[in-house]
Amino acid sequence: MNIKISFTLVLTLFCSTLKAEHSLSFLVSPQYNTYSSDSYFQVPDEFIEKTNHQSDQTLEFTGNAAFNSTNFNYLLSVHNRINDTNSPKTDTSINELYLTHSFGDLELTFGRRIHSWGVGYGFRPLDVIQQYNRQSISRQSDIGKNSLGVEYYSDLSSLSFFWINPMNKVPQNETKEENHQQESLVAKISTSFDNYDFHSLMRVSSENKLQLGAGGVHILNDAIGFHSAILYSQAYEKQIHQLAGETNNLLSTSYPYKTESYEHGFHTLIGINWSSINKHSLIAEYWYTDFAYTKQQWNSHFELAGQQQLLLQQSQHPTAAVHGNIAWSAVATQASILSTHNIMLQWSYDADYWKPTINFLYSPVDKSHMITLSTTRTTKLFNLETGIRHFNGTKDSIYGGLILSNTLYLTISSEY
Amino acid sequence: MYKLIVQFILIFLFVLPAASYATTDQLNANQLVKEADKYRQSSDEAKVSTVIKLYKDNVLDRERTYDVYLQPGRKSLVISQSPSEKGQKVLMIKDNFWLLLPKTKRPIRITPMQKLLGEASTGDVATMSWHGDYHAEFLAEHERSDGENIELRLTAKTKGVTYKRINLSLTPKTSFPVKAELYLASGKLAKIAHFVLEDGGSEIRVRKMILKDRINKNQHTEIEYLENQPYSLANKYYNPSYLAKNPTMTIR
Repeated sequence: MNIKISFTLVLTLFCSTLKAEHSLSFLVSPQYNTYSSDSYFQVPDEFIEKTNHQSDQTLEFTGNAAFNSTNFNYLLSVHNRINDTNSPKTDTSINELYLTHSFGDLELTFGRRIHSWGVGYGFRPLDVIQQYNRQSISRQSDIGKNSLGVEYYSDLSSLSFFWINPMNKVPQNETKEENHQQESLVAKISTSFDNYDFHSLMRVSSENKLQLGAGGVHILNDAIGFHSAILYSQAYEKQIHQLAGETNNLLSTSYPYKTESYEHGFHTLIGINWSSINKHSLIAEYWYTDFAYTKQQWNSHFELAGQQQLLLQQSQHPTAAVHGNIAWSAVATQASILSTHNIMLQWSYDADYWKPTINFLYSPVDKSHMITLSTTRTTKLFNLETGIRHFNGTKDSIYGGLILSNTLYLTISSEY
Repeated sequence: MYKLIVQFILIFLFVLPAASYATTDQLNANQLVKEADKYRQSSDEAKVSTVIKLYKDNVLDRERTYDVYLQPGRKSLVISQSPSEKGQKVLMIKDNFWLLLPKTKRPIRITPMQKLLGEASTGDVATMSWHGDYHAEFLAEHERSDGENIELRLTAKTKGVTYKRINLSLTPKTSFPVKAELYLASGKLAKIAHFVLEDGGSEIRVRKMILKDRINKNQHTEIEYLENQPYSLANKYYNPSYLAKNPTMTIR
């Protein structure tokens, strides 16, 4: 039993002895994937893991306890994955573990917390502390950020200051993933009046330097609401393939991505939602982000991968080296935001037992799309969601060029 | 000139008293609604624990439990306690609504129509009084359907209420609510509510509200008030930004 699991169990036992509230939730999510055979990124399974059958099992322990004005909150999880390509893997996470102490309407927070501040359904520009992949079909909780904060609540307004990842110095040459643990300072104001919600924030970090954001919701009438948000970043980074755009040198002997810095980037979002008395709902959103690869950058990636595929027909280079390089080229498709311009349409119907949903995500830059048909059912004891996701487009388009082409999934969850 | 003086005297004698009578009448009607509300919400600040039972063809289909916290100024907080939707919260402040789904960690501003989505209409669960949201008037003789009870027409004076018009029947001596016909903005009769008196005890109150669905006619809902006690919840709990706190929602 590793240290993390022991710590989790000891902590849970400790919490259960307190006069507090605890809950346990389980989540079982099997899925079946199919892959495109004509993608430019197509390589044998040993280079890119392509699991047809996969199942994720998660147990989450959530709770809180109070001692006068002090609250202790936790969210711990044990996650297990089984699939047809690897042996089962289990890991534990401390998703949240934080203390809050209230001085009337003023509250101090210390510990690991999940921060979600954004406005929007498909994309949330104001989630500056941690940006979730809103298109993920996973229902697992995220892992929070270590933070120290002070929040003040007044009527319908709040003012928050957070020091994220305090004293955490990330070396310059670390990967993008580790860079997300960077230290930052954030201030946020939220207020509501009449039919409006308004949020504004300022963040300072070494990667993005100064970020300024604002967003809001306006309820037009009983059925229609508008929402929009904008985030300005003084600096931002992208992982750029050093051979993309090259015509002669097509193979690399080391990981070919390097972090490149850009100045003055924007995320923008505008959306509308409508609901009817007959329980139909529609959401339409458009968002733009400078943080995704541009059409030109995607074209360079596809051209490079296409040329690398052609090398396989020649016998000049070891096949394994070419396959390895194509797999590296495919890393670009793992970004959480793939397209600079995005249009999302979502319809759902809140029927008596089932809630069917159709979600359509369109990339206007290359006319490719992702469509998800799903339905959820809530019973007394558990929630069930099942759906199918399909990616479509030409092989040199964002969604058509992905290796994954279809996912059939089922999620069963319950909380006690 | 003589005619003008006669007209003035006639107006003074007949029209003005009639107008003042109408105003008094309306005041009385509103007072009756206020009295009827006390059978559901005895205190301005309260905690009400409810069980919602949804029936289809008179067979119990689903059951959910909610805690509802109420504060003056048309503030209410509905917290789901059922396993399948534990930690889900709906905050209602005047005509404004926010929803918190536990995993999202952020409140979502919703439209009045979105409030009606889901298994039980949150508006039905959280609405414990009418007098703040409606103007009341007595129904005219020809509009009355019941000779025994007082019949009132309640017209919404605020935007966010689920039902724009209510025809309310009260017992003459005690103003206990007997029946309420709940109409949507379109004028369509959505539900008919019947009220069941608490059995025994010193205090007379509504124990159960039975809502017969007039759109899906094979359905009815029972809202049972298990616990109804004065409770003062700190103001910050009615702040949308504070909703994400206490994910499993233990209010102390």
